[in-house]
Parts: sequence; structure tokens; C-alpha cells
Amino acid sequence: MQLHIISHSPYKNTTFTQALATATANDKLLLVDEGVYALTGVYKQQIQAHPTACFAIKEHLVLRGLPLDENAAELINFDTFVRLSLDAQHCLSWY
Amino acid sequence: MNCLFILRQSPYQGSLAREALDMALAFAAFDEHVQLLFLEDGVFQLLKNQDSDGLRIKNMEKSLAATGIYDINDIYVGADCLTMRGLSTDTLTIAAQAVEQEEIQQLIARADKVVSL
Repeated sequence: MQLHIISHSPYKNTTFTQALATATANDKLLLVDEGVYALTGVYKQQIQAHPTACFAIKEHLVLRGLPLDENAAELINFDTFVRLSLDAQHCLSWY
Repeated sequence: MNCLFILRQSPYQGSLAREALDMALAFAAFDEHVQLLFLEDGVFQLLKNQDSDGLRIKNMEKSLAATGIYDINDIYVGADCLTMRGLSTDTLTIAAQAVEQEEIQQLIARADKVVSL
């Protein structure tokens, strides 16, 4: 299992799209910082349609006033973030 | 003087969004006629219920509320930018008028000064 960490807004550049294209069904996607904006609009639908399990740091959604909607991603804290990284073979940060 | 600020930065990523808004408020404090136009990820500045307590940083939503005190009433937001992000004007923290591309071009053409950040 690879952990793909996305920290950029999908509206600003193509890193989100690149990460999603690279992730397999066994991998995990983690949205942090501005990456949590992927839980809006058309990108939310892309995540829902994609077989990769998606996680997002709850605190980063709270900061930005985004709805705490668990339909597209499981909302996690920093402890779970650490556990996910330990479980993964590689952590890929998509800059 | 009619000053149009085009705000395109998302909040909390660096200080650009905050600095741009502070600049607009400063212009308004000197009795310039300030207009705000939120485009691209800048529309995320307008989301309600931003809660920065957990991360101990300054809340941008509260700064936006100050626009009323500074008599900034001409607040616009790109209609397409909202739609693309699954947002609408009734979910925003301050009253903003949704504008189409043609109206954006007119806002720019009519302004004496444009600050784009």
C-alpha cells in the first residue's frame, strides 16, 4: 500500500489529478492543507468514483470552513495520519 | 478614486490572501472607493464557519466581516469560480454578487486602479 499525500488545491495545479491517476485500488489518498479543497465540486465526484480509499485531516477542513462530510473521505486526526504512514510501503508527497 | 482588488488566493496558505485584504481595508480607511472581486481559489475566503482556534492562527473570516465597518459594499465573486467549486452566493459569509465574465471585464475597465493578488 502506498500513501499518496496531496497538499495543493486541485484548482491551482494538476498535482491532484496526477496523484489520482497514479493511485491503485490498494493505495490510500491523504488530503492535507490545501489538498482538502479536493472535497468540493467536480473533484469530490472524482474521488467518490475512484477505487482508492481517501482520507483527509479533519482540522484542515475545520480551519477552512469546509463541510465535515464523510461521503468522499474519512476525516482523521494526526495520530491516524502517523498510523497510515507507518502502514504504507512508501509515502508519496505530491508537490 | 475607484480601486478594484482582484483576490485570487485561498486563505491560510502563506500570507498573500490576508495581506491583500489588509491592503484593501487600508485603502478604504483613506476614503478610497474600494471594490472587491473574488476569483479562482480566492472564493474559498468567503466560506462560512472558518475555525482557526485549533491551529491557533488568525481567522480570515473575521477580517472579512470588517469590510462593512470600512464601508466596502461592492463585493463581487466570479460566478463560474463558485459553480466549479460546488458553492453558491447564499452559502457565503458576506453578501457578494455573482458576476459573469463580461461583468468582470466591465469592472476592470471602469476601475481607476486595479490591484490583482
